[in-house]
Amino acid sequence: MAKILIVDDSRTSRRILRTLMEENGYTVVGEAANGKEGYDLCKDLEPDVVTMDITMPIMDGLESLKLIKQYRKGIIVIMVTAAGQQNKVMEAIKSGAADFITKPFEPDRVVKTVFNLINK
Amino acid sequence: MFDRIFGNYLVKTGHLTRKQLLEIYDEQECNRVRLGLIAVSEKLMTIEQVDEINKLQAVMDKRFGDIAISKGYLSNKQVDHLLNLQGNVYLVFAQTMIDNNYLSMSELEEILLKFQKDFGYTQTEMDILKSGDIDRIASLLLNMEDHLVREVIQMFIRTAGRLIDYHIFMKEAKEVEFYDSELLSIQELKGSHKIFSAISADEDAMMSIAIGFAGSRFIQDGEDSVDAMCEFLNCVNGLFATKKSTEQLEFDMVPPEYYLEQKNLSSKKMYVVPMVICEKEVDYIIVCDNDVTIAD
Repeated sequence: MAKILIVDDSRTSRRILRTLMEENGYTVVGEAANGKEGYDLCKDLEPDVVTMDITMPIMDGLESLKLIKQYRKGIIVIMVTAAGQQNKVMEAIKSGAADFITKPFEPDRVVKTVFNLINK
Repeated sequence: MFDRIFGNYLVKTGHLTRKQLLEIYDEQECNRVRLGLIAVSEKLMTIEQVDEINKLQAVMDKRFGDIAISKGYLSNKQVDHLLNLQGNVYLVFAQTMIDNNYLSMSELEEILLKFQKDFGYTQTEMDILKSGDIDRIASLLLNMEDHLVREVIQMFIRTAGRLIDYHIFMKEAKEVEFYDSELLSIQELKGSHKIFSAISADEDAMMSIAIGFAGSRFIQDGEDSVDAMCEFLNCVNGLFATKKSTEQLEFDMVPPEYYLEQKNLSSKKMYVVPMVICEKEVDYIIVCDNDVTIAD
């Protein structure tokens, strides 16, 4: 089963995503609270999929995405965004993000997005 | 919203007990039919279309009827028809109160006049309150010239009404320079304007509204609740930024933060809007284009 890394500064969002992933049979290999931590964990844990929040302290999701894609081009990164960040989502897609999911989470859409990307 | 404002007035003035009021709300809730359900029963929409719109409402600041029109599922005329069938929330409240013999119609009219006099509302303002139109009610209660601040607060109320508690209501806003917080969640918007927004409440209230937002399985303590409310502020501000982008105003969202210990907030001009969400009192604080200092 695919290995997932969750990068989000909100512990509530991390907990919701972890629950959703685990309930659908995925293994959550780690959680990070900012982009820098996410990049570091990505190198250590070698996940198949990263869910990456955009607005985070220390290092935001866009910068972290770019570093992760430089490190491993084939990794699937899904951006997590609130409404109002269309420009950043577009920039993320240009930088190699595979797709995006919006907050507050719609469980069906989150699971479907991860499933579709893994089984592409 | 007026059913909640007036309901609390009835309890405060001794015309109803809190228990009676809650019974009325329960009964009223049973009688309230969602627009989507009416649309399905009228065979104007399918269940799948209703589900689709309910999901969209979580990420779009639009009413059910407006989305249905934009998707081509309903016409303007059909939405008006459904709203008529749904009925006015305040009238359902008044009807329920009378049906339960808590007040007679004449007593109710008398108390309404007293309410109008106590708060100094004109007849037009009373009509606005009874209309159920959140934007118009909020404009009346906010009574402020700063339209940007008013729009953010309206966005907060609409979003909280959709994502946390349909029965949210607000009290009159205050303009202050200093504010002592309890548990505190904050977020800033930067760009065309600098907008600071925050939610402050005691632990019990913060947990109740956080559970309303994220669900009880994800909220276990005060820190979970302020973290969840940061996410809620992020949703409100994101929707606000999207709305203003159509007017060529650009905003960047700063990562939200929370504080578990009491803080003193100060600014040249700070609005505090007391709200009741999930039956708990919380303050929504907003500052536009002024610096905010957060001190111990």
